Amino acid sequence: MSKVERIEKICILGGGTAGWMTAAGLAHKLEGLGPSIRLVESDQIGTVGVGEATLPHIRYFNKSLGIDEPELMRATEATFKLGIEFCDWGKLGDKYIHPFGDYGQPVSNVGFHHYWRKMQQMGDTSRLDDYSYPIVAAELGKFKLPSEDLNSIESTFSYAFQFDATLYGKYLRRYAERKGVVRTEGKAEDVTLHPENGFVKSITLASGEIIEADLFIDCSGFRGVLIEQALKSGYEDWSHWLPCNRAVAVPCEAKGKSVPYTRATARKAGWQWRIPLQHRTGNGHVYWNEFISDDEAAHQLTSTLEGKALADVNQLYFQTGRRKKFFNKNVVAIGLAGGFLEPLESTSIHLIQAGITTLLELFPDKACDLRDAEEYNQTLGQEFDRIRDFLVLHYVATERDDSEMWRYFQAMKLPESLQYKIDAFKERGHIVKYEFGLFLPPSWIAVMLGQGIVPDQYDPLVDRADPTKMLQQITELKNLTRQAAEATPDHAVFLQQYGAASGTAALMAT
Amino acid sequence: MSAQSNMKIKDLCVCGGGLAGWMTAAALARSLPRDIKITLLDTGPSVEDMLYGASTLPDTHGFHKNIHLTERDFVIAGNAAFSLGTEYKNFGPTPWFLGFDLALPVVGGVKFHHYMVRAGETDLGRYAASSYAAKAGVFTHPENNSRDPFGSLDYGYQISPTDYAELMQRVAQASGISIVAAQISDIHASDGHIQSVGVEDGTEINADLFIDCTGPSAKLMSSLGQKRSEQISLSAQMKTTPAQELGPAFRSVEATKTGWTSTTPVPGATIELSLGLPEDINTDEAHCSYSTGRLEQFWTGNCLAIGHAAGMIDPVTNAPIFLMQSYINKLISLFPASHNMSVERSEFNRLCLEDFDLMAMYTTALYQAQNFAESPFWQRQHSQPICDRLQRKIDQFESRGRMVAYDDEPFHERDWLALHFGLGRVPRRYDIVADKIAETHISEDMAKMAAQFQFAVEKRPTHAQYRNHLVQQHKR
Repeated sequence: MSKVERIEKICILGGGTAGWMTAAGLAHKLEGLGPSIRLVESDQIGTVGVGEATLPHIRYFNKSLGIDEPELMRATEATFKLGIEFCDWGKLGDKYIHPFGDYGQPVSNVGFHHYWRKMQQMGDTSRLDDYSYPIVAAELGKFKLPSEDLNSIESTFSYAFQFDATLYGKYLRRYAERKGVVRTEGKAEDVTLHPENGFVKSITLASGEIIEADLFIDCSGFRGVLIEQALKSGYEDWSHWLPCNRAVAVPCEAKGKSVPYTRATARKAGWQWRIPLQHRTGNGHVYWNEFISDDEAAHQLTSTLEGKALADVNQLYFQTGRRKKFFNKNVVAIGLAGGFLEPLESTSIHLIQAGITTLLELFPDKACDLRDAEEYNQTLGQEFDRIRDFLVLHYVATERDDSEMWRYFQAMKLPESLQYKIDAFKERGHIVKYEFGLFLPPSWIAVMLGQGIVPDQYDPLVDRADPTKMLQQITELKNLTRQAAEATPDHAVFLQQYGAASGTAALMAT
Repeated sequence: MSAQSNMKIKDLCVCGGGLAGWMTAAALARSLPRDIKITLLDTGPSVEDMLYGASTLPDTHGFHKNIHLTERDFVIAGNAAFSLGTEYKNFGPTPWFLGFDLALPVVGGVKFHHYMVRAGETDLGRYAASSYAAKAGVFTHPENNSRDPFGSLDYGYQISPTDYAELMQRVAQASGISIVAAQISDIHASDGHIQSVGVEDGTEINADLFIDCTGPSAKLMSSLGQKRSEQISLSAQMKTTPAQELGPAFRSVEATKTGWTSTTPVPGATIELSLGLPEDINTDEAHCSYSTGRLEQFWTGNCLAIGHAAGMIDPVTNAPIFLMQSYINKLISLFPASHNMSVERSEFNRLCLEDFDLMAMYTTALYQAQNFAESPFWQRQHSQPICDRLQRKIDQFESRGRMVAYDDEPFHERDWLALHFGLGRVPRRYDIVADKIAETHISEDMAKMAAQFQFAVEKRPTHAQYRNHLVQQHKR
């Protein structure tokens, strides 16, 4: 058995959200343990602000780093996020919110949506959404932190942020530098491999400087300078399932009341996002270039902005899928270098976080044991695969056939794992769930019901309960939910109270 | 879809007596809508019930809760006792305890066992309340108090399978189901569905859904062409010895050259179960022979299997009762909404086959013990293949103490940790983040933790005293 030799030098190639999140995470966790961390980035290479909307998990990342939440929110022009509003997905004119929270609560181990479905079949017209506090609060533009009283309706949700990812990167850069990370300005011009084992030995910068390290983290974005260009790790292409391959993005002036949610509106050849920040609104149009030209996509975006554009349109190219090996030899790819899934459910930053957490759990030594890499690849691979199914669901749970893209999805053969889930829900409202994966049953219910997959039958156990009493109880729950949401402060007011307002905001506009 | 396939299920027939039949009938009667008619075709007690073993995992709480069986009724009417876990002897270099403790703490962002590895420790029992309580012979309910070291405990039960079956029989009888006591004479199947089951006196039982609780022979499932994968042929014998005072709240399993013997104290008796190759089992006592393995599918057409009919796993762990209760729970939560039960069937199969395979994986892992590597019984066990998922668990633990977990495993991280350490495995590396806390500093905390468990045990009543007290209290 060889002696365990610990890693002394870590080199992160690429800044941006992935690079600085990784630098901050490693610097904090490995502080005092020896390894030095260098981050190489070039001001000449633009970064892709990977989705400015986040998932609640980011709060645990920030918390573990000891970051003060209001301070971070001020520094990143952040707003609160209770979920995503999806418009025109199931069919034109539809809308629903996918919340960070549950609907009602199970009764005798049977999911609340079964009771709702029975009441609906009996003629009740309430939406399932009426039993979700975060949905009703979001619709009213209200927000406060979850209650600590677990019996309260106001505890039944979680929250995330919408923020400026570039500012988040800057914030984490200051954090990481304080913890000893050394930033080097430069562009990797060349990569040298060890002749015997094929490990990356060093990168050579344009300046001629050579940087050696025991472990390289590739945060160089889509190109994957180390993981792909140098190590040829391979890419699992998912464009047959998620064919959108380009995006245009532009910020604009914020108009109207500040709302605590992101919006995703389906379009003829893709979809458009709207992410409200304190000082501006982020907008983007993700599309499939097969069915729309770049100019037309940009025009569709700019012609629907709610306020004046604040920059030129930024053009992005991508291919959905993931690296066959995220961890190969002594290189770990995190962020877009590892894979790309469109930001329909704000998963990009979450996947960065999952990459960092898993790397720390499997932190290798100099030998980079193959078993560490295999375990990393299995863990992250499963995370990607499961998210993929959830994203595909949005495109296929629909009646839309009004354009070539939507007709493509109508004819598409789904991943078996997804078809199985849809069938189980359609037939009897059953959610096929997993323990390890990002999206829990309420998320699947939200999207399936929100996009028109209504169960033919409800769970027969519901018939054990007395229907009159049941209707009375769920009506009471609906009223309580609305009352609680109405009593919640306006989102903008709460941001101020919480000390999260940056001062640059036109937040109080109505 | 035909008009008929939209219709609701109205009639159920549970076939088979013994623990599986009565437990299934009782649970369904207490959970399903009241207009569903349940018939139990009681074929009498089954000698193979001994293979369910005599102790349960904590999951039994949830099962009883779902069917509205209170702990008081269960413990008193069912003649049950409490269980802290199982002690394994001769499974690995030193005896070890598989307790029902909750997860170990995470310290400084690092899982506790990495600090043990760094300190060269492998005795998980030192940090398990269950192990202290078992050694001292004490038991109390865990208190809902985070400062009580016993708050980190969960518990199961010790009960004779015969008493358990009788209790379930009383519950089922009181629930108003129809009971037909007879032997199956013929099974009418067509198109992969059971049409009816005939009994000796010529009566035909018709139903929309049939549940096969006929034990290892799986009579209904075999009539639909379902076959069992047969792995190892074994025999078991059970001996019940009267005992004046209730023994400790744990089961002990001791490996021998020819197999293993478990000893489980229940109120009024000690149950001894031995298992080995058929030639090594004493046939003077109650005994039976069987093969481990399972059906390809647990639900086909309008018929599903529960208990030994679905598959058999050694009672070397608490798997058999766990699996039976888990199948019943899954049947209840997937009770067919109509005659077209395709979704329910495939989901029941997916979940229950997975439960079985995960349990079999833990059992296979346990049988990797090398204490009697030369003997035929153990050679037979060691010849069983190690599946990729188990290999991954073993490799990752040995490589760096990483605990690989799959979706919804019945045995939790801590149970696997106990097994790995118990079998003498030591990780080659530990999580380097552990080094942020100095070894001297953490070893003080670890010693304190152990001392707290020791101290907490000293003030507790014995298992017998505690149970007697509860029984007296309820009588009053």
